[in-house]
Amino acid sequence: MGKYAGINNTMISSGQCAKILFLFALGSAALILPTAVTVIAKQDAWISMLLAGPINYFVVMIYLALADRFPNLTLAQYSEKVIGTWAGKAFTLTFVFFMLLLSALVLRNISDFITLSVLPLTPLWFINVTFMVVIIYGVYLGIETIARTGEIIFSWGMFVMTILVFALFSQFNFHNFEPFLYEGWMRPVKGIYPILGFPIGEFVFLTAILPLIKQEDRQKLRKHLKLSVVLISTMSILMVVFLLGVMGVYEASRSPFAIYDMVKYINIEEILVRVEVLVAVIWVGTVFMKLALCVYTLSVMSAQMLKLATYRPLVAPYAFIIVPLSMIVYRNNAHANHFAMEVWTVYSVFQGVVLPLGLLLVAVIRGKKDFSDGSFPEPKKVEKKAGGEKGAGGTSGGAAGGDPSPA
Amino acid sequence: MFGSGSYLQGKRKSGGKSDKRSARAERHEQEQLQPFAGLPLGVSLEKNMELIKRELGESQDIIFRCLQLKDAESTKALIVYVQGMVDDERLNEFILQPLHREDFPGEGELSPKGMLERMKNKQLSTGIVLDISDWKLFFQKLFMGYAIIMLEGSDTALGASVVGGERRGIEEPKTEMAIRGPREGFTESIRVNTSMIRRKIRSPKLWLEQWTIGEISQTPVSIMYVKGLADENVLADLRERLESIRIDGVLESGYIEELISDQKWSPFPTVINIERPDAVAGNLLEGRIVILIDGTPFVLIVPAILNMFFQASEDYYQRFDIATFLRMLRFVSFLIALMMPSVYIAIVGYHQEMIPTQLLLKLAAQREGVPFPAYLEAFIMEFVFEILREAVVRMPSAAGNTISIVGGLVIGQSVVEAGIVSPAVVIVVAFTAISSFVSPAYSLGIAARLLRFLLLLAASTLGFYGIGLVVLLLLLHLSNIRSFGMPYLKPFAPSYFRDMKDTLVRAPMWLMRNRPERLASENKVRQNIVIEPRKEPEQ
Repeated sequence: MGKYAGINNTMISSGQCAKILFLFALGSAALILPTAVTVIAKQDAWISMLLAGPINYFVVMIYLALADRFPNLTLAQYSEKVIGTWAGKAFTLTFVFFMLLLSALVLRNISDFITLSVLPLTPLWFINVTFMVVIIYGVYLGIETIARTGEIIFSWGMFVMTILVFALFSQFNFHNFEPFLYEGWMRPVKGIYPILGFPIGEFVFLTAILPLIKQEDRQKLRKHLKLSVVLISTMSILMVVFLLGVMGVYEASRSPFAIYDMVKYINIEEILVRVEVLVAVIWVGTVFMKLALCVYTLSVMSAQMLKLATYRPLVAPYAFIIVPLSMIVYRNNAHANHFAMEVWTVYSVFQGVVLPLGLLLVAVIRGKKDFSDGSFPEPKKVEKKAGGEKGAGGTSGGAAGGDPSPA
Repeated sequence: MFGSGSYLQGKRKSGGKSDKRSARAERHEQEQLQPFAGLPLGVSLEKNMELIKRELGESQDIIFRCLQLKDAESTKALIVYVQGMVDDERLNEFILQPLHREDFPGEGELSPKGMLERMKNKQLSTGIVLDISDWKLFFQKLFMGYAIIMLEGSDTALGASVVGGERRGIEEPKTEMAIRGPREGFTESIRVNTSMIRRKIRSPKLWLEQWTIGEISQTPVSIMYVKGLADENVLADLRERLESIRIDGVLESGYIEELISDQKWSPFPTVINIERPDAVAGNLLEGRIVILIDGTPFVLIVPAILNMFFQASEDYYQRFDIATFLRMLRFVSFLIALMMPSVYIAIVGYHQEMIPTQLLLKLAAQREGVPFPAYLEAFIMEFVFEILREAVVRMPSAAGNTISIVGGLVIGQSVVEAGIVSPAVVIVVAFTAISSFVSPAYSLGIAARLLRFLLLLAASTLGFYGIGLVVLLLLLHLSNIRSFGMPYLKPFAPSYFRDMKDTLVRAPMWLMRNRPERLASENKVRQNIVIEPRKEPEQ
């Protein structure tokens, strides 16, 4: 048993969970998704974003319904209770593969972005490796630390976003939205398609986070997640609106990282110019959150599937898989767009919506409910301490054997 | 390094390691330092004196004063004290004179024990008089500044407290200046310090516990807290940590700080040191615990979170609007001190497009003929500045002007004129230096000083992306560390909205109704009756 076994049993608050969801949703999608939607829905892309809002909540509802039946278990654990041990393990394995691929894609997103826009001469693998080092550190420290970091990034992100919005007002042109609904409702409805897979289907990471919410915060959870979804929709709409208003449809749909290019338009008295690299820094933060959560979910699900005492030993090995995988997952950025817009949605929706929904249905039909505790086993050391804390250090003899070798 | 998940973490005593350590410490104690533990005093005055002299190596500052008690011709008494550690006047007035003046009943009427009892009850007029019957206590009290009275034929001695001697008086604190507020700072004497705190909080709820830490130095260490406000878990944890310290000597609070803090490998301080009694009193009232160490004016406060390092006591004496402004100024200057050189390097080296054209041309013109790349310039100048800073702190104050002339004029001006370093870098480094002095807590400034170089390295290799990565690492680290179970970034993360009133802003006094959360779980209300600003009656 590892020295840090059970560290991931630490609890987070419902507010933190909501912020995590927000950062995850905007994580890598913020820079890429607006382009994808604009290509399909043209100047009505913001309507697609609006229509996608309720779907966000619908998906979160599935996970919440599952969490109501199995409040202290993750997907990897209750799938075994619902459809049997081995079928459950196979079921979880599909999610492990999904998360592994997702992690590689997210890592590739950030390294593509950095090499294309910020550091053109730096090789891809170097960006990948440096970024992964931070991810390993973060995931190693556990969900509590990731959640707190998320809170700080959230505040800074909102702050920078507000400044950007105000700075872009002068460039805004309402004519870019005309003609309104030129080809009827079909175009914005079609625009929802890429949003479904990226990021909505990926929300399945929540199934590993929900059991970690503090017991006393559970009632507020629904409210906070609702708020989070509203905020996600608002931010996506705002971003697309500004993207269209500032850049127009044609430029927006040609730029690979549209928001980044949009910020280049900021020009305040020739002093505040070309601040797009600040957006890049914030984006590094949000992508960090998304990738950290993906790798965390990946490791936790694998550890629970394999009945390990802790997820920690898996983090570094997974990183060694993710880095090369991200190098081969796309040939180039055009390929990435093609993949993200057409293929990924099918896979992501299948994993993130269809399978959990099916599981929920089976659980409802078979009437499965389980309130048992699914947390990783606590290390012996902690138990001893809890028992003998009142005695003034007299327990040290008993705990002497409980100092295990590090993970 | 990564901590454990439990609320109160860092119980380093568990496991076999501590057993080994304490066993070794005990052996150490038995062999060398405490040969007298439990050894009783002898009956013969002569032999006792001989033993003291032998054990203390005939040290000249130990004074033996023999005297013949009046009317008891054959009963000799011996007074032992350490010169300089006792107050000579009080020794004279309260011990020597009464013993000389008073009449003693004749020999045989009272046993030596009875005579000691009588001395204690009727003659010695000092505040503390205690019985000493073994050598361990004898030497302990002797070196605390007690005068010890021994009597022929008795195996107990009397210790009378005449602690005194020269010590520095109360002066204005040197490290935490304030325009408005009390002018007194702590001194090196622990009793003076505790009394200064008691004068601020005159409540029976202000409790004090004392330890003696340091196997050889035997330094008194006290903790003070307001009972009912301080978190009992933190208290228990602190007691355990203090008790587990085995060290030869404690010469300054830094020893204790390093030994009790949760984060051994963090550049960020998780224990705060303060020189101002008013700031300490304020912290006590918010439920924190104060550790006082004899021999230093710096007292420690736990738990210490990042936010506390930006609070100056003066914030609460000034109006809230200016206090809020100063708070934000401090946060901003901390960020500048941490990141300004690296941001400059990142912009100049990687993101020139961010600079307005006019400025870019100016910068380019300045850099004309400068032989080094920008990051090297920054490294050199930062390093030179650190050397200057250290020189100014260590040298005798008479040489101060020389250093400022040499440092400021010779280095600052002539490197630019000689074209070795561009003026922009000098400006950046100078601005960074000034910003680094804004932080009210010196210990946090040190963290910024060290991390600045790390950020410089990241910026010179990877530009803003590198800065972003290092900032992420720092954020993760800061989110992870705790001080006595308190998350270091509280109340930012985990966010407690109600506690935000004393962070980036300093809310008006009438709004700060509750004590900080998680510190005082039971007693939350700070003000029961709140005087709010009077509203104009509606017409």
